[in-house]
Amino acid sequence: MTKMLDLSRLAGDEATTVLSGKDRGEQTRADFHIDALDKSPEHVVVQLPPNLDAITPSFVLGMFGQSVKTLGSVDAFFDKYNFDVEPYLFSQIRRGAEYSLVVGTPLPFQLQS
Amino acid sequence: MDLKILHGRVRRGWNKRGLKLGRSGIRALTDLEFQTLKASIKHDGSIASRRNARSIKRQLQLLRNERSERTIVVRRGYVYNHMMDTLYPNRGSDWTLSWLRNKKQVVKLSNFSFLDEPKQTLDSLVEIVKAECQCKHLYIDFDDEDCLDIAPYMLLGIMKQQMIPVVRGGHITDGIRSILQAVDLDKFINMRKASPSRENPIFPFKMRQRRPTGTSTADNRSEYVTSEERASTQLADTVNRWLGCLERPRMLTRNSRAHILTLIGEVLDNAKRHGDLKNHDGTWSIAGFMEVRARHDGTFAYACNLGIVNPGATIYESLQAAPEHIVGQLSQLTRFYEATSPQGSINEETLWTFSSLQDGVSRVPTSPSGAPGGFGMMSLIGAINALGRSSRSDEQPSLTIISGSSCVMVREPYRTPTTSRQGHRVLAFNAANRLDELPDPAYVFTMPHRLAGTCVSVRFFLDETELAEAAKRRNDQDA
Repeated sequence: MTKMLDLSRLAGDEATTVLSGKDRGEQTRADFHIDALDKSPEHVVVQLPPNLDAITPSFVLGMFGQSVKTLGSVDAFFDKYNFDVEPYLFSQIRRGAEYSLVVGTPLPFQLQS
Repeated sequence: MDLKILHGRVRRGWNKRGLKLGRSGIRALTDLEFQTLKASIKHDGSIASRRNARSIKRQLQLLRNERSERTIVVRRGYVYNHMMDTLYPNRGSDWTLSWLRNKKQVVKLSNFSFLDEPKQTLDSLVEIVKAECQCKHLYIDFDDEDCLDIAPYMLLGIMKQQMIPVVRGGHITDGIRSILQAVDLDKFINMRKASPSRENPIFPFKMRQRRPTGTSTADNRSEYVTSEERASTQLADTVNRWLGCLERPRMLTRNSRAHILTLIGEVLDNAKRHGDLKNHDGTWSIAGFMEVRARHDGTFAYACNLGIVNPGATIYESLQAAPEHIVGQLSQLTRFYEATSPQGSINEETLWTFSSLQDGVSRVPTSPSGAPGGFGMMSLIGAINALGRSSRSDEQPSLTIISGSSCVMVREPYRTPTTSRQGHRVLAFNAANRLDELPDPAYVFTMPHRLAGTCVSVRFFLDETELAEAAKRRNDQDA
């Protein structure tokens, strides 16, 4: 089974060519019930707004960061969520997904969180 | 504005402060504005007060009349301004009543750029603030032939909104004039001399300011485009329009456009989220310019310069609200650095600001929804590096972050982060790129003055070959 996740209305009636902001990503995650999608067995085809030129890593983290964690790996995330987008846009989404699994900080003197 | 006296002299015993407003200012008001101004003149019911109010209104009407030659004195007390009072903490105590001022001063601005001379530039801004609270007339000479960085002009533009009008003019070059127009400073400063027009005009990206902190009603809703997204798109469109207007039209590649959108999207999102610690609703201002620079070999360089000002919380103030384990790490790191560095060369604020660049260091390392954070700054640096891939040593991208008293200059040889085994991107500003070694004090240092909030200056050069190929592709498609 495949489900469609239509994000084309994210741009509203205005012409925007970028999706940015972690808070906006998190709000979008809540509005589109991505938590429930993560748990469902279906594959999801993600349709992004037309004319989109960029999607910032922060937006991807806010919207899909928890999904990558839930699914366990970046590959598992892309197995479930299918983005039919141009390669440069896909690489932006992939970068954001990869950051989702980076934990802690690179600072010396690590303390327990 | 508190109108108290309308004669070109000071009455003894008045405790309010005032300043002079020319009749042209009164005449420039619309009828509605003028009526509102008159209606704002109140009296306390006493005969003397009523008489004074009537007199003020009469004088105002006379000044609006074309035949009137008298001037008006508008009195306004010292008003605290976070930006100016942070730059010059003695502003309040040093304030001289405007009608008692006789001093005239000239401030010369040269190398006015956070990208090139951050200390000197901040000193110049402090000098202007100092003059604003003490001088009758201030002349600003813009000595730079070209604008090196728009961010300090933006700060000047933001400050002038609250400054009393003491600026009387100064020398200016044509290149700087375009910049002042872009940041809406041209009407504020009476320029008395212009140099011949530039061969390659500057193309400004006009200053845009987000609504004031904490006033959003529908931000981040999925069905609305945010101010940050709108500004990013407008900037990318402006760069493309500029490139299309050139004698040999050029165009951004999709990759370059994506990098510009990412760069602005990340930096404005940071300003919004971390400038307002309570509601994630901070304000920001952004402006920029683009110019073609002729090289000695006859070729051209396409320079872009952006300034982003966030007058809210500094990075250091924001990190104070980070979870305990982040604050603990930063505190331990500070103690370690302080034990190994020469005394006073770098303070805690600077160390925390520098640390905030590293992946995962954030006030909100994990949001309530579980999404990790702290990747925005490195994404910004990555986008700038990807945009400015010039092979010329004098056209490498550079970024300066000034936050509070800290200054971090991301440029050659410290502009390329490395990725750790755990996946963190690290930029330690030392030869080994190790965070357990001190950052180079020429690139990470503490300033003698404080800026309220954070200011980011960016300069990068677009690659000529890529631009030409993109334009050719578009022409082929159109054909």
